[in-house]
Amino acid sequence: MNKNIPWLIVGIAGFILLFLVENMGLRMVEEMANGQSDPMLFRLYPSFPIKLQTMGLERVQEYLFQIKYRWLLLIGFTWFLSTNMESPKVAVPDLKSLQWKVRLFFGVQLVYLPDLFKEITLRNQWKAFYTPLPFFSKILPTFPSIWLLQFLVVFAFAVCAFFILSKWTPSEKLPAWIALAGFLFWTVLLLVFFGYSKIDHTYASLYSGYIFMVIWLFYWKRFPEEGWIGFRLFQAGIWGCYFFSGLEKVFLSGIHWISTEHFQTLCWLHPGTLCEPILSVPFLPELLLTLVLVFQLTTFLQWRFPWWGYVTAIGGLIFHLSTWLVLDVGGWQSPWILMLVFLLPIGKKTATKPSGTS
Amino acid sequence: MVMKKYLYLFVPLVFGIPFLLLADLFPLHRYGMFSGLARPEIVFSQYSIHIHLAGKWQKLEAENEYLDKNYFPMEAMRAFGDKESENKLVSKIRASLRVKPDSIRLESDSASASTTYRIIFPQK
Repeated sequence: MNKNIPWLIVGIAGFILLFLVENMGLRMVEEMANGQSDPMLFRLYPSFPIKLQTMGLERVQEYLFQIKYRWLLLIGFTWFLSTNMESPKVAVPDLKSLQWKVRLFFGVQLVYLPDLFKEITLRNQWKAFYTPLPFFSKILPTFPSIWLLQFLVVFAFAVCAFFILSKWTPSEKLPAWIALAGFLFWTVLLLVFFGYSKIDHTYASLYSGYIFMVIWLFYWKRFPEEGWIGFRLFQAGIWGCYFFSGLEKVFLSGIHWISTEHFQTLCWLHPGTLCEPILSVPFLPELLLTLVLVFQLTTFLQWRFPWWGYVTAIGGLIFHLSTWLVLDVGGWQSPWILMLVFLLPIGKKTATKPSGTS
Repeated sequence: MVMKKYLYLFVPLVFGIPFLLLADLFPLHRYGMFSGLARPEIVFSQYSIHIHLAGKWQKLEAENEYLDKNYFPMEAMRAFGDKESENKLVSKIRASLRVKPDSIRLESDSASASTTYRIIFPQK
């Protein structure tokens, strides 16, 4: 049987299923818009009325309508990852090089933990306002004691110290479990950080990378010869943030995302000093927004062509510096920028893939 | 080989679930990256909280970009005109400040609001 047929079946079956339940979703949204609220939906998604108010019924329905296409895209993406994992173009980094990449990742955390703690301490003063996002409120219903948070930061530091200072090897149990503990510490700290009705994307690629770092270390322990696969997933955790962000732009705004009006909206939301000069040049806003979209949508090429990491890293650097200089969002010290280092296809490589890989 | 197949699924799982279901879930997202033209004018930016301290009125600020520019205005908008919410807001503000303010008021530049400011503490 052709190996692509199961992918096709899963894709089409999911599409049909979503198509069949679509009307139910559309009806629920319409009822909510007419004030006939569904308590279950409110519980799952309490900020939905605000969303309805800001986006309007038509756009919300359009969004629901898109889900089946998003599904197809995801299946296609998974198919792409699967078929290109064993690409002959993928050079395999050697063990030492991979270990240093892990150490570097924990070194990056050391840079940002003090700042995260500073932010959390500030929020501690305003803890009376603590209103975690709906899902998070089940995990952290009240603002935790500042002592607990201090301990968590110290533990997170200790995890970093372990990876940087100790002579660990990937075949041991300890590194993977310690990384998992560190990931949980970061999770709690970020949940507190998000505890004022919003998601903050400052640490998005770092946290996403951390998810895959834990998987990588567990996989590496089980298959010591195949640490490079986990590393590729870790990289996917970083470039995936850009790729899916680009997809969202296409799905939610489509071609309208690339327009002077949208650039004006962004400038209105985030007035930076370079906004006016850029808006005064014809077609420059469109050009810049197109470049952003192209950069984000092409990041997935790194899976097939590792040298694309240079393009993503340089593109990402320019992107983050631009959002800082033009829109005053983020900064030169953004953790996103440091995480780009891991996309560079540098480090010593083994000549061929280790045995056991096809 | 089976393990590897599971790993392939991991990337779509981590990113895919939000992509499928939850994207743009948070209307107060600061950067507006996802929204494009879908984002209308943020009405709550027209609202603010002011406190009377040491003989003069000043805007309530936490010296944090998000809290100052988004969260406090949003709280002001939500509480404006609703007695119960206003009382809750007063308690939160007073619990957060070391030096307690003499008065607290909400201001609105919104054309739709019937009054431009409301003294919510002390209660009349």
